[in-house]
Amino acid sequence: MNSWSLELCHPIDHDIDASGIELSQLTAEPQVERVKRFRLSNQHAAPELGELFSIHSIPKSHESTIVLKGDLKRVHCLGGNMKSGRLIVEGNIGNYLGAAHGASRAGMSGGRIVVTGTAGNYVGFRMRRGEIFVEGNAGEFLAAHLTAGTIVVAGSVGKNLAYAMRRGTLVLAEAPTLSTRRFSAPVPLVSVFQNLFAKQYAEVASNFRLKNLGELIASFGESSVQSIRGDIAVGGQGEILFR
Amino acid sequence: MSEESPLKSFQVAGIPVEATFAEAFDMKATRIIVTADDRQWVNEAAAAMTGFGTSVIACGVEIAVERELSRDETPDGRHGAAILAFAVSSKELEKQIPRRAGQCLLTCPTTALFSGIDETDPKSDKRIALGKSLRYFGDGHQISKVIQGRRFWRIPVMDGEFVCEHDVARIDAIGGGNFILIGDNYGVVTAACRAAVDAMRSMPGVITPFPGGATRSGSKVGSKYKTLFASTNDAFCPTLRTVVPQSDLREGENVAMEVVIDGLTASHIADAMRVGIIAACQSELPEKASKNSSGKLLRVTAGNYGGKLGRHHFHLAELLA
Repeated sequence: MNSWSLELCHPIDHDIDASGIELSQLTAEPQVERVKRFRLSNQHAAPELGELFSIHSIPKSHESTIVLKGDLKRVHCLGGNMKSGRLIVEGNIGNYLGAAHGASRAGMSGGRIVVTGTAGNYVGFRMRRGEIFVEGNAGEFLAAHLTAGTIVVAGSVGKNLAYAMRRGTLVLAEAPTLSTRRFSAPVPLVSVFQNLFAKQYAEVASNFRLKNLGELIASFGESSVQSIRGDIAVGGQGEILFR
Repeated sequence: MSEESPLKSFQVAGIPVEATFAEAFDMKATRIIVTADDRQWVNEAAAAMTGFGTSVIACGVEIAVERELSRDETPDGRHGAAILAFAVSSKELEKQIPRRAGQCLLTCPTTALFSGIDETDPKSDKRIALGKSLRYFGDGHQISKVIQGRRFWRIPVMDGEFVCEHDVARIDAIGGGNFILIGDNYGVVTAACRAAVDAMRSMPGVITPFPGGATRSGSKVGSKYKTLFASTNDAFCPTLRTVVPQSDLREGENVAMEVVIDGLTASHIADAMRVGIIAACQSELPEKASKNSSGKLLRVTAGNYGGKLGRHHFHLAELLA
């Protein structure tokens, strides 16, 4: 498998659907010229990657990796079909990150997405498995209809957090505002899972020098953590953890 | 009785070592890591998990602590211990490990359970269930988390959560490496056994599953009683030295103890046998032991079945060359 770096050539001033980018297809492609011809979505007028990004091969690691560089807040629906590998966004990203799109019932089902900036609305919508880390803020409907997987947001979050969340884990830096009819009251988490979380994910923050994520992850091994379960309205057993 | 051994011998630290071989067998093995909030809970969990695990003859599994783990070596950064388990069949290992983990580790306060076998790429499909079985204790409240490609189960219990890895790989291994230490009294042979086991304790990939690492009831295959498939190794019983014609003991050899070694690979066992035998031969004997004795081991040998039963032969002369 190959790894690619995609650097934005010029600012994007309109919304772009990037649901056509499949990590597995990109990393299976050995030639940069062919990578440039991938379309961002299956719409007829969708731009090719080469029109927006300067593309370079990056050294192989043990996992296939795509690195996107630039302000991509108008780029939406990225990573929803991810099954494995690493997707690194060095900058901001738009709505529906790792989310189900079109007629699909499930979003990303494996791998890891790391965003060094902020993320838009519906991060992890119907996400099935995998991990999303956001260094900055996340928008509304974060982890809505989450089925499983882990989402960590080191910044602030928007409204309608964890709406209809079924399972999975949402880790936040601060206490969320949630309906008491749909989510349990917070209780202290007494579990070695805190230690496991802090130790196993320490490299995520250190690899990308992410200060907020680094502090949040490290704090799990050191301080008390609160746990909220829900969304009770849909019989969900999702878990929201915060300091 | 054989007053003169037909085997050639050589000396290690002045102790005669017979040029014979230890015969060992194919086994299935796995390694698990137990962690807990403090060292005492780790030790208590490990003691429970490895209890009644000396021999596959009746325990089903040979299991012991491989070594203690520091905080830096465990997945959750707490005190831990690595435990190795060996069985004659995959089926038996797959039965014993979840059963013991459920009754001995899940029950022990503050513990967590992790796989101790490095994963291969692609992942081996030879697995032993850990959380895969134990999760049902959570009665639907259990949570699955995949971290760095490893699946963990979080099972709610009365002290918080029992965190347990989904499963652990099962690998091929070898059991039954051994050497027999012979002397003229308990003190001499005990001191040698303890020196040998102490020297091997820090070695990776091996365990000595018997009490204190040694057994006094080495067995031979078969019995005069039809229902038994193993019975006392009369060739090394001092009270039978002048009774059974096939005795391997000589005059003055009053005590024999066998150190049995299970290992993940042949080289693990060979290294451990070498270190153990040298330590036994060099052992300092306590004053009490040397009063009515020669004060030293009389001989070192190894147990085998003529090479007909096990395909792994550890020749003492080769190991100690």
